[in-house]
Amino acid sequence: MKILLILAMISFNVFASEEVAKLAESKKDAKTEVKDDGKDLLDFSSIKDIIKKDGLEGQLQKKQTEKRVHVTTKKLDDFKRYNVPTQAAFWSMMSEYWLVKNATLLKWDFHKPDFDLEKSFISLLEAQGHYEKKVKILLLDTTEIIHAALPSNDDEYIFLLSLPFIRTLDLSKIEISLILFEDFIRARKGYFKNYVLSKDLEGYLGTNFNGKPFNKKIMNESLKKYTVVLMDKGFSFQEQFETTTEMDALLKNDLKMWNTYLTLLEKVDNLTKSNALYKKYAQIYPSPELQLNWLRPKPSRF
Amino acid sequence: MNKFFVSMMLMLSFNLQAQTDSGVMTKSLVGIKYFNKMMGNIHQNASRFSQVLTTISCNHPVKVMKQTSKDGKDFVMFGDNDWYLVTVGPYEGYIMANYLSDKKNECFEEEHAKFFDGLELDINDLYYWARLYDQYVQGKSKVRQ
Repeated sequence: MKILLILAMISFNVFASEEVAKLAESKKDAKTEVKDDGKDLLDFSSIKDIIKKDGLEGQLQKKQTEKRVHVTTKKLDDFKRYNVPTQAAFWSMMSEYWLVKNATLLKWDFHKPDFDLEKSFISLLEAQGHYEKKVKILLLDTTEIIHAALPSNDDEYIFLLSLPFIRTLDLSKIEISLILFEDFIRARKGYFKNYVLSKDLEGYLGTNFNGKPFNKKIMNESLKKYTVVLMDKGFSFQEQFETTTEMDALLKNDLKMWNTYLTLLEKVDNLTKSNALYKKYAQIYPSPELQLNWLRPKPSRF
Repeated sequence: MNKFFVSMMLMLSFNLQAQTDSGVMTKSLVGIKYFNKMMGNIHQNASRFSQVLTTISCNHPVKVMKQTSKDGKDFVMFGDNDWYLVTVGPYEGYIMANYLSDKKNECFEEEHAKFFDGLELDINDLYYWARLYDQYVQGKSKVRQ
């Protein structure tokens, strides 16, 4: 009986070890299979004859094409993630990036009443025949920047406007709309955009930086240029002349509006000459006095 | 003394009435919408200056809710009819209606993911970017008949 028991145990042990060996082997096979899958997504070479015999060649080709398309699409998607935006998508993002980086200096994050400024400005735009234009107005609680239109995407305009400036001059909604409209004209002429758009930036936009480091330097330089235009350099006499003459031409068909514009420039001129807080204004927009001279009808020679 | 007592009673009853009224409002789901700006805030009340509950980024799905009063009247828009009541994760708050779309949007940070990462925005920048969309006064010119 004992011998029988020992014999049974030995046979079970042998059987078990064989099973374990088989299991280990099958696992090894599975591993190599997975590895092969990873290396070459569909390797049917080992069963080529069987596939041919079963008439599955067409199916195999279809599967291989599907897999190839999948891999290519994935690679392309990964590549696209490194796309640098084109100019069409870049400008609004860049302007907002500058606003975010200068939030504490510009003091735009503050509680204010709803002035409905956008309504009167949009009415003016519509009266002047500018339709389907998106307008974003951001009020600033500072005199660091008095008013400006930042570069933005097509048919979108980002305006900055100093609330202390509006309050100091006690400007009406029409006057505010005219200031914004002047900035709108400047933005359409692209003066600001052209200054920020260096050759390097122009060459970088619309490219792909896959395998290369992100060009942070070019972004920082652009940020600096924004600050230079808005707080130091401003616009040239030529640019200001072109803007003023266009305003003159556009507003002349509505004499009431044209007169309001003239009165507004007089107010601004007085302010920049009398209030030290606004001295820099004439440097950024040269200058209200000159604008008045360009606008006022010349006395007749006769 | 009597006048004081009566006015106190009146105030108390008004308060109780207000509480009962707000208690009978039921909330239900209207649908899912997607946030369509770069960054934005969910507010405690239907006001751009009310407390911020959480910040969301472009294409974030939000559950738009409606409130139904006891007499069966539905309220979908709040504030000056330009705010939705929404649920985002554990938060329930308000968001400006024109910042939500029915379908997913083309978002800058998705289309140019690595470029956006390269800007290395910190938590402060993200906060301000969301605040920017609270502070903007926006509009669009149209052809009017």
